[in-house]
Amino acid sequence: MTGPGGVWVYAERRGTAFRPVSLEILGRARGVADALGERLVALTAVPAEGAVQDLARFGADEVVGLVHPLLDRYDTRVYTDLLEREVRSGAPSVLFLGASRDGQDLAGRLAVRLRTGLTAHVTSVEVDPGHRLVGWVPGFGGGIEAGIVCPDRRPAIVTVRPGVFPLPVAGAARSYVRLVRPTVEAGSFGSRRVEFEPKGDTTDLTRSDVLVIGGRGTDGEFGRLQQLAHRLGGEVGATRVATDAGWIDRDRMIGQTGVVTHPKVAVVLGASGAVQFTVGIEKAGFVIAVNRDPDAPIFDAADLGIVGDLAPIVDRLVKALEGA
Amino acid sequence: MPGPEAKPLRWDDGQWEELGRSTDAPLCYQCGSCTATCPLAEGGKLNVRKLVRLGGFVDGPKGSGPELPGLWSCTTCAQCNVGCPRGVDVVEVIRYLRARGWRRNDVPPGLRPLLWAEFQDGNPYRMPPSQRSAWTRGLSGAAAGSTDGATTVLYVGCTASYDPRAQRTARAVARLLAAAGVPFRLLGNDELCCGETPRALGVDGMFRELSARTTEQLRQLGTTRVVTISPHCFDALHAGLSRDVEVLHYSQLLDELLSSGKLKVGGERAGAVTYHDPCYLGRHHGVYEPPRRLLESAGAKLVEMPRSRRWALCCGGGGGNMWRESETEGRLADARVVEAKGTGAPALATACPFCVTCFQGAEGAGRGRLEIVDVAEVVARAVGVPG
Repeated sequence: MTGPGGVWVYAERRGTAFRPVSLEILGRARGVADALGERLVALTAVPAEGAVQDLARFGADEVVGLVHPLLDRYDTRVYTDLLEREVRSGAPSVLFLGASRDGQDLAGRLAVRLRTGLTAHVTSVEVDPGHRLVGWVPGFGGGIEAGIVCPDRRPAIVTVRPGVFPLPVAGAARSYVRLVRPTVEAGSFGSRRVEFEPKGDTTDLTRSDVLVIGGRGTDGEFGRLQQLAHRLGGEVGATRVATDAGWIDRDRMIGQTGVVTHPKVAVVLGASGAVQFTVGIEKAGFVIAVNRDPDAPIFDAADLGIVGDLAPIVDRLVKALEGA
Repeated sequence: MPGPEAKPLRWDDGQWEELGRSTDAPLCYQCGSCTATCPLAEGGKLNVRKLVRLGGFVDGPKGSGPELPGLWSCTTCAQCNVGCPRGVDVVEVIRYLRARGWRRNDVPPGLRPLLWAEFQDGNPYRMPPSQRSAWTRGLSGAAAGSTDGATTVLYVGCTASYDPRAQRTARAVARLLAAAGVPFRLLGNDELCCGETPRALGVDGMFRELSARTTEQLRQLGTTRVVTISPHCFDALHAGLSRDVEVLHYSQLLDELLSSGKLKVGGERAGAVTYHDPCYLGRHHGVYEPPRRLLESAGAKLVEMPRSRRWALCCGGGGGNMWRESETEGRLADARVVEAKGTGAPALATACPFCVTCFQGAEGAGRGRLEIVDVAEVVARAVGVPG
């Protein structure tokens, strides 16, 4: 039985696996639980019990699986009700969730239902000498970092940004597993799934260490860029001109009205370098720009610049990397 | 006849009176000249006449404002003001209706972060204030600004401070002022946004606050004259600074320096060029000739587009649109580039960093197709300073 207290991690399923962010949190929460002198509990909601066992391999003292065939997809109302019930009876001191779309949805609602505090989108956590959990949240575009504690209310709810903690390696299944079979009625779902069509492109450019970004100068030849990105183990991004032209999916637009990224390396091909774009790579570790125009402003924002035609340069790079 | 889905609207005298206290909307007799000349009216993106009228209505059931289609797409280019037979400042009405949108919490997504950026960083780009002077790289001597005594301030503005393309324009202006022996100061990293963006978006309080801070800064330095790079800063500082500070756009000052002989051309002579009037320089302030005289002094053969001066087509960047995504279809900059190419000139010169950015990103612009240049850069080449 789960006694009161404990550090709980809500593990979110995505298709047939757990979301990496949930496992990342589990890896980090072990240390938090130890520092607080509490037990680590992983909580999940799944359609069949097989999945629960997978969760027992990530170092939690206990795994609680809410199992019901209808829990094969997320629903705001149903999941909020379920988790509220579990949290009320288990009375954890901390509840972690991933700052995924569903995790953010759930965390806010739970915090209101439970009349407690939510520290959203933390990038690191620590236990201070007063035994309080401090969640660190960068604010205002990274200009400041705020340390947030939830001093009185319990549980302290914390959502964690994906990709900030290392993904733990699965070990032996050593957690105590407890299955709960809640009553779930189809009628309580706020929506009904008619059809499910996965979106083709679900890449998160903010997580990529290497970005190969194309602008107008690519003339739409993103195939070449894909090859280069593939060789470098990175992703392809684009400027507004390129997404407007329909050369690539709009989700891949980088800049002020697109995605603000922070890769280790950004290779910028055929982009002129307007600030609306460059703010999207402001935090890149190293910027390499290739442009035919030696006067292109992008060179002012680059650490390394190559003046020349894109196609032969990219082809040579791809070839050189093939040999590597 | 309204369709079945149309919401019942109710006329509200109180609301109309309130609009009338802040703007001259009551003068409007709904002739539609504004809509007829509005560049966004084509394709039905914006119906200015209707917006003005809707300002007096409330949404029956909700008692709140009716939907105002296109309100936030307006570039505040002021073409509507030119044709209005009643002399209504329609841009003022647009700003008012936007302000009402903020009060009613009815604003499109993406604008709040912009205001936070202004509030936190003093610029709409979310760039660190500590990098505001980065544009001065490569400048030395008098071009890097004097530290004491100078009563002229070169106000660089956010775009010319942070946009790599516009930084060049700023450097060209700084070098030209130095070449003409005009001592000037820079506000450096302490320079704040002029507040043009919040103002155009109807957030007057933030605009006033920014103006007040800049006014105080200039007062402490004993500044009597401010020279701006962007026509948008020119407009906002005009509206916001105290009257005892003279506000000039760089084209006005350079024009003066060239005609008085303090600047002399001797470098590279410009070829054929067409000139695009930035809305906030031309229509808003009537500065049409100084940039043209500058281009001609630089040796350029000026070829006019059919729509120029009061009738110049907007680039699409004003009114907060630099920070919003516009529909690809019917983008104004694309149309303007087609007009510019129609003149046969290989280069399009303008005097506003927003215009430069919009044209640079337009279909058909770019190296070897249509070169986009700022007037200051053309003059710098002609004078023989790097630019």
